[in-house]
Amino acid sequence: MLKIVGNDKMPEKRLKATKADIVLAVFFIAAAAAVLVWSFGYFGGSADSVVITAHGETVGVYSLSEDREIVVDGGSNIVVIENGAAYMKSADCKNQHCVLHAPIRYGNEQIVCLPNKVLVEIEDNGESEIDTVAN
Amino acid sequence: MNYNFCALAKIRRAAAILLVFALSLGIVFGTAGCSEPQKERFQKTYLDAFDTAISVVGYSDSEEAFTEMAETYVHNELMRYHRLYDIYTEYAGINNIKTINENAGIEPVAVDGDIIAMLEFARDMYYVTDGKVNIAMGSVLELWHDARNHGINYPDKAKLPDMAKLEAASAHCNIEDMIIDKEAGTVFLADSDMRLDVGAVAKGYATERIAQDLEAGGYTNIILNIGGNVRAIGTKADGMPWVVGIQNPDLMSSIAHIETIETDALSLATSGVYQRFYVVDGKNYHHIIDGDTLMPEDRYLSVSVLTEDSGLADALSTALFNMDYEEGKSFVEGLASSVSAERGLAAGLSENAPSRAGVTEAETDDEETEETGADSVIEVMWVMPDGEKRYTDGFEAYIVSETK
Ligand SMILES: [Zn+2]
Repeated sequence: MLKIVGNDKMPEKRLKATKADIVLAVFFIAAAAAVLVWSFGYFGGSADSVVITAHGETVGVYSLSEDREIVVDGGSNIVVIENGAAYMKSADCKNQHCVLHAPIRYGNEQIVCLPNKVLVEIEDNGESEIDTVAN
Repeated sequence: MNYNFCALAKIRRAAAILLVFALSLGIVFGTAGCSEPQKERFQKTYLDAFDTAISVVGYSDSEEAFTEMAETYVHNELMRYHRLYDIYTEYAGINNIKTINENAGIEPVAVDGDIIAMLEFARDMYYVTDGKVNIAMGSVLELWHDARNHGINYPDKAKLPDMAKLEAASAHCNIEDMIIDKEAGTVFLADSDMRLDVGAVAKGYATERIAQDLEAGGYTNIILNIGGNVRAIGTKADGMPWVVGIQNPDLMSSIAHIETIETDALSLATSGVYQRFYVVDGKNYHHIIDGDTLMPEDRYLSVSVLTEDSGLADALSTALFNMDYEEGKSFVEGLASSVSAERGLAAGLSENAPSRAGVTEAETDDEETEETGADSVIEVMWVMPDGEKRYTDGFEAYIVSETK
């Protein structure tokens, strides 16, 4: 870069001014790049995650994009994350309502196992379309 | 112009453009960041009251402030109402609905004012719904409750309650046998075989009381979901309405929500076949028992009611669930023109409280309309057994359009 503008036919004075300009330009390019990176971070958001709690205590927070099986409370409930959705694979509760519940994938959706006090919830990442579900 | 000057000018121009670009990015994103409501969004879910899931969603300055609000105004209060309105469990030091039931035909029971207020509301709902919501049906519902629990615990031995027993119990469901003495602060069931079951009203009533307490305390930007009784307190922090999904009655469907609506400052309640059901011979039996047939009926998959008062929404969704579509539609139309807009259909009704047995529609109409002329929202969505959705005329205005 310096070489291109650092033409030896240039008067001394001019050359100095040019250097300052280049420093400025580099500074602005860096600033703009930083702003861009920052703004992508701002808008890109993070991947949706599943929060599992049992008896009010957090069991764990898991990414929806990573398939896995989570054993809750020593096996009272087994949650499966698969293809970007979470569902209750099995539960030792009597009514089995939680197992019958369809997989959840969108922010603020929940599967509740009331008898075992287990809650599976898609974390609201601020972009959820639904605030709550009337069931 | 010589080459050098040209190059310099270009660099300066580039710098200027970059400067403008960087500044505008800064302004656009910077302000977007700042103009975001200073309040942050929080959510808290409880699983220990009213045998249901309870969510509080709201915007607050800090997590501490939000948790404090959720604990004090919602969770603690719900636990208190839960104990007072419980029909299955006794708690040390308090007389609750179970105590009233155990003293049926024996003696009046001194109870907390919040029990009396709820029972009066429930009695109002009986007259408003023409008996379709009847908390005096406890002895019938107890038979269903026992059969359901037995069926859930021993699926291969699941059976329906005995119809002869149901019919015998149905002779002891007269709301007039619930004697409330406000002066003495007592409740007495005059029929010794009568039992109260407040399941269809207590949760909605408590939800409304809590919401009104929050409003009186200056709180806003909150939405409560007390086991499906959704009550909005103000809008979201940015002034936008809340977006509420209505559960698809087909729990196994990949479509989680059968409808999505936008609302602020309104209540939504749903009664559906998917709630608290059990299975007998491969058929699902839900928990909303029709007072006439003494059976859970299959008129709808679900009925959702949108109105100001959460207690009213809860009671109406049950009542409409037990009415044929045409009957329900004309019932709602009659009601919408008569209900006072004040949060307090209940308060209004209690003032005029029946000369009970002989309350006619016309009488209530007059009294209610005089009170305020303002409009009140009562909108309904019925989901028919084949999944077809039917709406009152105004309901669709609340539906989030597909294009959004
Ligand atoms: Zn379960």
